[in-house]
Amino acid sequence: MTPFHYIGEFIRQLLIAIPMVMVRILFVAFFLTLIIWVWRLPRERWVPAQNGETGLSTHLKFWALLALGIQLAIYLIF
Amino acid sequence: METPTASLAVIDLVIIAVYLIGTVALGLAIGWKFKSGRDFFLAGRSLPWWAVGMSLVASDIGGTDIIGVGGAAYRHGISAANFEWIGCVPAMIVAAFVFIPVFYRMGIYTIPEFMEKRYNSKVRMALAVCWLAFMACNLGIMLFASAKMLNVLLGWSSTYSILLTAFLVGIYTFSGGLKAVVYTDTIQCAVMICGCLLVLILGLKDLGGWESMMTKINNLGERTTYHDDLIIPADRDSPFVWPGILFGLALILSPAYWIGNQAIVQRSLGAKNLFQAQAAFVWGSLLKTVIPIIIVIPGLIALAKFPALVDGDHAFPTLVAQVLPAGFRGVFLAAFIAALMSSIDSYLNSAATVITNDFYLRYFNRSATDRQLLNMGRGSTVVLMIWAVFFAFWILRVGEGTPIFAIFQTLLAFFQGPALAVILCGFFWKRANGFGALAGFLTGVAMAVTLWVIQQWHEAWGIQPLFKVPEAFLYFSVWAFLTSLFVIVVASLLTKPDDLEKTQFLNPESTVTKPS
Repeated sequence: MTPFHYIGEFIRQLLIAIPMVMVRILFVAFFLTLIIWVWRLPRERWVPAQNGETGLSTHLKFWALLALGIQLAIYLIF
Repeated sequence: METPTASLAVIDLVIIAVYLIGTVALGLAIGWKFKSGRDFFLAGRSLPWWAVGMSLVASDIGGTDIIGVGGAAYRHGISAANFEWIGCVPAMIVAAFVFIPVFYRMGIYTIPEFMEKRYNSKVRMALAVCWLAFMACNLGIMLFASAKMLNVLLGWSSTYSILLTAFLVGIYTFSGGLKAVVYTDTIQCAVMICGCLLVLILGLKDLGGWESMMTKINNLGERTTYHDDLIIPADRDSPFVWPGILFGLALILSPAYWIGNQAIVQRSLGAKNLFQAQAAFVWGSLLKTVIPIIIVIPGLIALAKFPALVDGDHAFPTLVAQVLPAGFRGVFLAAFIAALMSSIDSYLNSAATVITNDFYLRYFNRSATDRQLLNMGRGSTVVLMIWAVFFAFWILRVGEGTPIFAIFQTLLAFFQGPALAVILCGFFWKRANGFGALAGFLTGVAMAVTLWVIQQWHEAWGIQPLFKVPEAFLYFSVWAFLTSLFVIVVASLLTKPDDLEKTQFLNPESTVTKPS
C-alpha cells in the first residue's frame, strides 16, 4: 500500500457515507449557484459595446438562463 | 450476438456520396479566395455565432462518441448523459461570460499564446508541446478508430477507410482552414442530429413508446437498477459514480476542455465580434441539451430490444441495421461519417495553427508575412495528415488489441487538469508568476502520470488499485489539478512577482489587440 491508498480510501469512505439525498441537493445547488451568478451578471459582461443589435435574440443572459434552467429541471427529475 | 454489418441499398450509397461530395466542394469553395494566415487560422474573423456554435458541438461529438456513448448508455443507463449535460453546459456558460471575452480582446490565435502574454515563453512552450503532441497522435487515433467503425458498420477495408477519410478531410481543411472546418461542421452537425433523431424516433416507435421501453429495461433485473438515474452512488461499479461526475467532470475536465482546449477555443476566436463569440458558446450549450436525447436514448432502445449483446458498443450499429429502412440507413451513416470528419478536421486545423503560431512565427520567423503564414499553415496541414495516416497504419499493424486508444485518452487527462490550474491562476490571481505556473504545470503532469502508473501496474506490484472505478481518467485530472494549484501558489509566493503589465489584460478596458 502506498500513502496514496490511505488517502484515497479515507476520501472514498467519506464520500460513500454521504446520503444520496444530500448528493442530489449538491447537484441542484451547483446549478442554482450558476443560475444566480448568471442572473446577477453586470450588463457589460453579456452585451459587448460594439454590438448595436437589440431584442431577445441578443439577450445572451436570457438564453444562458434557459440552458441552465433546463439542466436544473433535468437533474431535479432524474 | 454478432454486430450486423449494415447492408446498403443504392439510395443509401447515393445519400452518402452526395453528402461527401457536397462537404468537400463547400470546403474547396471557401478556401479559393484566401490570401492570408489570418483568413486560414481565424477565418478572417468573419464567422457568425450560429455556425461557430454548431461547429463547437460537431467537433466535440465524434463518430466514436456516438457509438461509445450509446454503448455506455446500454451498459450503465442514462448516467452516460452526464458527459453532455453537467459535463458541458455549465462550463460553456462560464466560458462565454468570463474567459472568451478576454481571449477575444487579446487577439490571440492559440491558448499557448495566452500563456506567454500572462506568464512567459517557457509556459507557452510547455503547453504548445503538450497540445501538439496530443493533437498529432489523436489525429492518427481518430483515423484508426474511424476505419474500425466503418469496417464494422459497412464492411469497408480499414486501409481504404483511413486513406479516404484522410484525403477528404485533408483536402478541404488544406484549402479552407478554419472557415471551411466551421461551415462543414455546421452541415455535419445538422446531418448528425437528423440521422440520430431518425434512429431515436423509429426505435421508440418500434418498441411502442417510452413507457414500454422503460418497462422492458426494468424487467431485466439487477443489472438495470440504476439505468434511469443520472446520479449514481459512490460505491457502485460504474465509471459514472457521482464524485467523479461532479468533482472530476463538472469542476475540472469540462472547464479544462471548454476553456483550455485549443481546438474548441480557436473557432470562437474566429467569430465576427465578441458578441458573436459569446453567443456561439451559449447557442452551443442549448444544442448540447439535445445531444444526449439523440445518442443516449438509442442505447436504451437497443438494451430493451437486444438485451443480450456481448459488447455495449454494438448497440448503435445493431439498432441501425435492424430498425432503419433503406434510405434512412444512408442518412444515419452520412451522420456517422459527418461526426468522424468534424472532429478530425478540427484537430487538424488546430494542430496546424499551433505549429505555425507557437513554433514557426514565435521561434523561426517573427517577421513572417501573411502569405508565408498561409503557406506554413497549409504545409503543416499536409504534413500532419500524412503523419496521421502513417500513425493510424502503425496502430492498425501493431496496436490493434492493445489499449492504445485508452492510453491516449489518458494522455489528455494528464495535462488538462494542470493546464486548467495554470489558466485559472492566470485569470484570478495576479500574484501567480511564470515560475510558479511552469512548476505547477510540470508537477501536475508528473502527479497524473504517477497515479496512472500505480493504477496500471498495481497487480504486478501486488498492491490494491488506487481507484475502484473501471476507467479512472476523471480522478487523475482531479488530483493533477489540485497538485498544480498547490504548487503554483507556493512557488509563486516564494519567488519574485511578475511585472504588473502581465495582468493588464484582465481589465475590460484593456486595448491589447495585437497577437504576439
